[in-house]
Amino acid sequence: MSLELIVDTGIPKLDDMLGGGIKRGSSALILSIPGVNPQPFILQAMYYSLTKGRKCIYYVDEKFPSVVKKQMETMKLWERTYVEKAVFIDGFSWKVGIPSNERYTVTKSDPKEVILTIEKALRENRNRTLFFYEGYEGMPLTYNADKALTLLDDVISVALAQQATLIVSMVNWDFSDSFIEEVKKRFDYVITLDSVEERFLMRHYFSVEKAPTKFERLVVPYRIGIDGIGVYVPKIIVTGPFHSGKSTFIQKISTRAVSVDRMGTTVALDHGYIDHSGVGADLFGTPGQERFEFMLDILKRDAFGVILIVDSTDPATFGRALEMLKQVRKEAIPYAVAANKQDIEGALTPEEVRKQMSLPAEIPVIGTSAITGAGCLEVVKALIDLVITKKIRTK
Amino acid sequence: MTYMIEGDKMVLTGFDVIDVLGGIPERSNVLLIAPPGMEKMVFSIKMLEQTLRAGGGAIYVTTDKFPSDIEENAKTLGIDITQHTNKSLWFIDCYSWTLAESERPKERKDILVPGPSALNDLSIGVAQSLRDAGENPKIIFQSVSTLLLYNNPEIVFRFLQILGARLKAANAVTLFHCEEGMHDEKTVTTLKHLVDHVIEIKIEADKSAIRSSTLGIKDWKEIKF
Repeated sequence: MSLELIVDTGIPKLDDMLGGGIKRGSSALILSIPGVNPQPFILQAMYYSLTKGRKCIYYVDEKFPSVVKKQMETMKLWERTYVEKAVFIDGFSWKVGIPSNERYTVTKSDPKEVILTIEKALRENRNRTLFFYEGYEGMPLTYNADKALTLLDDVISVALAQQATLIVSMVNWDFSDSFIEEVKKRFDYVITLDSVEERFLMRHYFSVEKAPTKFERLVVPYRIGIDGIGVYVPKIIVTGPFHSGKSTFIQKISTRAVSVDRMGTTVALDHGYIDHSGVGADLFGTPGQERFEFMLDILKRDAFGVILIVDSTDPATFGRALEMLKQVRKEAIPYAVAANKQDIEGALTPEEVRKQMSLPAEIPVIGTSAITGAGCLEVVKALIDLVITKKIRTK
Repeated sequence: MTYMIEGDKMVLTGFDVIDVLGGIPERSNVLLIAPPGMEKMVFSIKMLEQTLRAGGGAIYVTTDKFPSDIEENAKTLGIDITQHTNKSLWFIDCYSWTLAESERPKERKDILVPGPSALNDLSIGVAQSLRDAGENPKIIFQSVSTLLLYNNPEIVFRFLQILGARLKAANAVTLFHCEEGMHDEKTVTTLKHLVDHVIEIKIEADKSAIRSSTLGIKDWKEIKF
């Protein structure tokens, strides 16, 4: 498929999973649970399309279009020359009795008028247009399920007739499974957003559930950062025996790093944040000294993955390394091994390390030099691949 | 119907008529029904004062007033809540964005929700502020009636059910305001069904009375605001 025919979502990992992006002229549903916001996904997709000179139309009926523009601004998807090219269909102003500034407006609670207004906007802006429909859940909540589905059919057929690419967001307010199935059936692509909620922490995941072409079934943790939506792994633990090079490793690859150390050895905690090609991760190093091992319990809570650093020049410490791995790693949490100090003569090769430590074949063992940085990023990438390949338990 | 379990921690409201019976149990959703007027807000602000003074955290969701109006109203009661704003008291403003831009307040740090129909944005706003509101937050939701005015009741019920469960999981006591006489009987019955406790307030000839069978006030009792 030529790239010309693809609309990218502005989220590189998601595009990869979709086989490059969304096919032009098809329909995509972004479906979230309550409390997870699907809107940034359509805003980001729209913004990237606008920067590429594509025509974009946006329908919204639960807030002012001006508010949507404001939200783009807070997501830093804001360059006036681009944003002003978006065409809005205002389905909200009439509800609060304020006259709309938009070219296309709905004036009453009438699904027919909604469809006609959408059709008019699409017809008058017909040029490989992208049509974004925010908040489809409003329809099944306002009308009954059958009527809502008929409306959806109308929206899809109007979009297809005008050769537009349709992207719809929807929050699943506990609709019946059969209704949700009916909705999903009508789309070429279904992207779902889910979360695991804890007291203060919400972890969000996206995954592709349906696509017309080959796609990757991954569950990808993400967050909305200052530069939009990105893959984000909130907690990777870096562990290894005394002097294996944990702190150096974290500091070498981190965009930002702090270390609590005393006379060259870490007494309490290393922390680093890494951000490379749209993938972010927080790294936490374990303390090297036994009297701080109580901290391991705190650290290992909710870890997504573990990086074990071993000193390839000192096989005598391998036993201790495996011991430490056991301490921080709960069953089923993926890990990768950095065979460190490859820059020193006499270091065992990664394969020799694997053999001596009896590590299974599926565990990545990668040669590194924390001092020079060689191989370090590869370890993190290998681990992140494992983290998102492994189906993470979602609620 | 929820029965009080012995050992439940209780939250004081600042009103003797309820507090002599213990107060409101922690982790509960309360529907506060009263005729249009100031009573619900006064009741809520007094309860907030207890919490804030004791160093607790609170969230005030407003759908029909500016946060600054709430602060002003508190001031007329002799309660200065502004000292707590953005420190232990967070406002979620679902009102300002329904107005034209020129009428919206400036230079406030409240969480803005783009109107009473944006229920998903509202639940995200609540989740955000819960992170800052401490262990046993108090939440004032003013009011469910506005949500019912702008949305299909079905969506409001689903929203309240999901939000209510989350708030209880966060050990919160939440007062959901409801305007008496604005909704049909079926709606009110459903709302009552969704919460743990119902507090009713009535006003007759300058006198106010309160009733809440689940909190132990079976018959109307006088209450002074």
